[in-house]
Amino acid sequence: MTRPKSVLVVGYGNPSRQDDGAGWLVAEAIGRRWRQRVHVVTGQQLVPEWALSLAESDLAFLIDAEIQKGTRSDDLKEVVPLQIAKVPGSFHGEGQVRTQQIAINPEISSRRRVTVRKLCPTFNATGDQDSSADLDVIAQSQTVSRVGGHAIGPESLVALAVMLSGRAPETHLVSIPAIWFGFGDGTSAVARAGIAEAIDLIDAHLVRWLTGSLSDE
Amino acid sequence: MSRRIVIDPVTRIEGHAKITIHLDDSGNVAEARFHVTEFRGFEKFCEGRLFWEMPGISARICGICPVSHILASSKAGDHILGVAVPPAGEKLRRLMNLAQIIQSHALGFFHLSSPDLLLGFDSPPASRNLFGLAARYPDVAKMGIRMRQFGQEVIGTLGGRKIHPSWGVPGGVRDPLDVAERDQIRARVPEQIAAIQSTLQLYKDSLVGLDDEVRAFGELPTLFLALVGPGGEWEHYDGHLRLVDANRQIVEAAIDPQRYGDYFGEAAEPWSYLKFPYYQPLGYPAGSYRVGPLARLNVCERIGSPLADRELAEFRTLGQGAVLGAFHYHYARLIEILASLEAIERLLDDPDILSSRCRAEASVNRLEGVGVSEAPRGTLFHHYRVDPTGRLEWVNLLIATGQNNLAMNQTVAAVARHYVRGGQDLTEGVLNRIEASIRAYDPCLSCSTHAIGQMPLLIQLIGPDGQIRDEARR
Repeated sequence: MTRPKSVLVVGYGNPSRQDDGAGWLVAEAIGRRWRQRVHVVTGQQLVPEWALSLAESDLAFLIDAEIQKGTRSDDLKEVVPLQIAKVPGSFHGEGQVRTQQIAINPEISSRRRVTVRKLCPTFNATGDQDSSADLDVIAQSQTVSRVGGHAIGPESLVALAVMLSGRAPETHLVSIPAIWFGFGDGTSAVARAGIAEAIDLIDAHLVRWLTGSLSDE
Repeated sequence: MSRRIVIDPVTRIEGHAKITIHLDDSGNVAEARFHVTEFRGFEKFCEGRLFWEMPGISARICGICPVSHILASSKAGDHILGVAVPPAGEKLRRLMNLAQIIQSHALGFFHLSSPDLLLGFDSPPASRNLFGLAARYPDVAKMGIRMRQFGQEVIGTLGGRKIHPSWGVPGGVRDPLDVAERDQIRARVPEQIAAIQSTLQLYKDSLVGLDDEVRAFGELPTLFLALVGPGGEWEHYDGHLRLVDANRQIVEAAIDPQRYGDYFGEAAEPWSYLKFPYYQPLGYPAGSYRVGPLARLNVCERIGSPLADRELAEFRTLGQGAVLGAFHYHYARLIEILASLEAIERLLDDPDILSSRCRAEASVNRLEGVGVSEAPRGTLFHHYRVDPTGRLEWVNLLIATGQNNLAMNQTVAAVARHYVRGGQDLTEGVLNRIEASIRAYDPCLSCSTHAIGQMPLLIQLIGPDGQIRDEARR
């Protein structure tokens, strides 16, 4: 009997900086829907420790917020607070914070909101008995060389999983468009739409993938 | 012709800094400075907040050492409340602090410093990092990652999350530990003890080829400060402050942490945001003292656990009195990981650890409180004055890295004098050794200036006329 397939769902970003916490919200929602079938972790940034969890998984989603490519500065200017509330002692300067009501450029909201990119290990150590030369190349590559020690990028995480354990799972980087990065936990309409879309996309993928994997067991 | 060398930014440290090396007319090092170039000002903007909020607010100073701030802040709050924390509350706080020491020391050693030690100070800088380590020594890299993961998971289990857990509070802790959680942590300890013993051996073996660096990092005859227990044993959470000199002779046997201000002053220099604490009776800068793993091992009589005490005895042979070499911070860090793992085993075997009575309730009973604990990088002080409603009127944070500031400057100068001679051009390997002398202290500049920032490095070579003659930047 083969072991059950395992799924890792990583949500990362800063949930105290509005849309930057979109990855957490998606990961937690997937965790609630799939409970025992997925392993959910969340954090402010990708850390090397997750490479070990990644290497032990069969499917992984890395979910982050990002400013959507192609978004023009004019688009962002359309995102303005419509209502200002006075909150004594607030950190938002002049004792004011913005509410969650925004005006939104219709062009932005009509775009595809979420991008999903499949990450491949930069090399495959499986079956290669003398891969040290390749490993050195990876260690010096642009992708992974800018490493301070405790935070790394998504490609680097996959590469590190392979370096440490000789394998990495099918890994998808899910990017949710984000436009608000102020202090607070409210998300913009753009991010909320992206969050809903990301949940649906991951959910649909999990249904297909788990159904297929279950039939293999 | 005289010159100045600038290293800006310094890499693989927690924070943002630069190093300047001032040369004399013959091209030799006249002096060197470690500049911390970031500022946030937590002490000021916390004024007006309630002291109850401080564990949560001050934890945001740093993503690496939040537990240290939570504990020191909670302890300052204990004093303001005038309560004795229930035994379970104290033991759970100790458990979290030990986990914090493990995860932070593992980060400092494996992720940040071991590339220099195992791959070589002159190895290609592009792969002189965790990935290079994983490529050449995957088992070592995996061991380090798993060790840090263990520490973080203990913190996450206790506090509900690994970063910024809202768990320590004035009076105790919010939530107890249950049997399943205890057993889960306990089951992982033996693997970690085996891993750190193996790492200690690897480190000792690697020292054979590092004689020059060990010598170059200097043997500074500073004082050393740390908390000790009632019998002078290694301590990380409570007890009294002890100061010893370079011969390990006791200078101050038992300072009451509440009275730290009578003994230690803070100087400032116009070229750095990091303050310069000193031992007042010797004045500034003669009162230079060091804190952190090296200091704790020099100050204590014993650790109090068999495996770590055996390592301590071997460690002590490196010095005539105290072990003075800054390079040996690495060694001390590894011994403290072992000590922390043994202490975790003892705590988990203590039935008190499962008690649900872990928090004392009270309101403001004192208008001033000092909380002291040993952060991974050294002794940490949180000092608050409040009004009768508990609103903060004054805050002072004395951070471990700041207390090593004078010594870090002296160490940079020692390394620069060893490697920069006759005005010769800087090689990358020399730059890295100068950086590494700072990394030995594992400084956390986010904490010590309470500053936000990245971790880059700039070295400037400055002539006696003040002109920058050479510059290297990462």
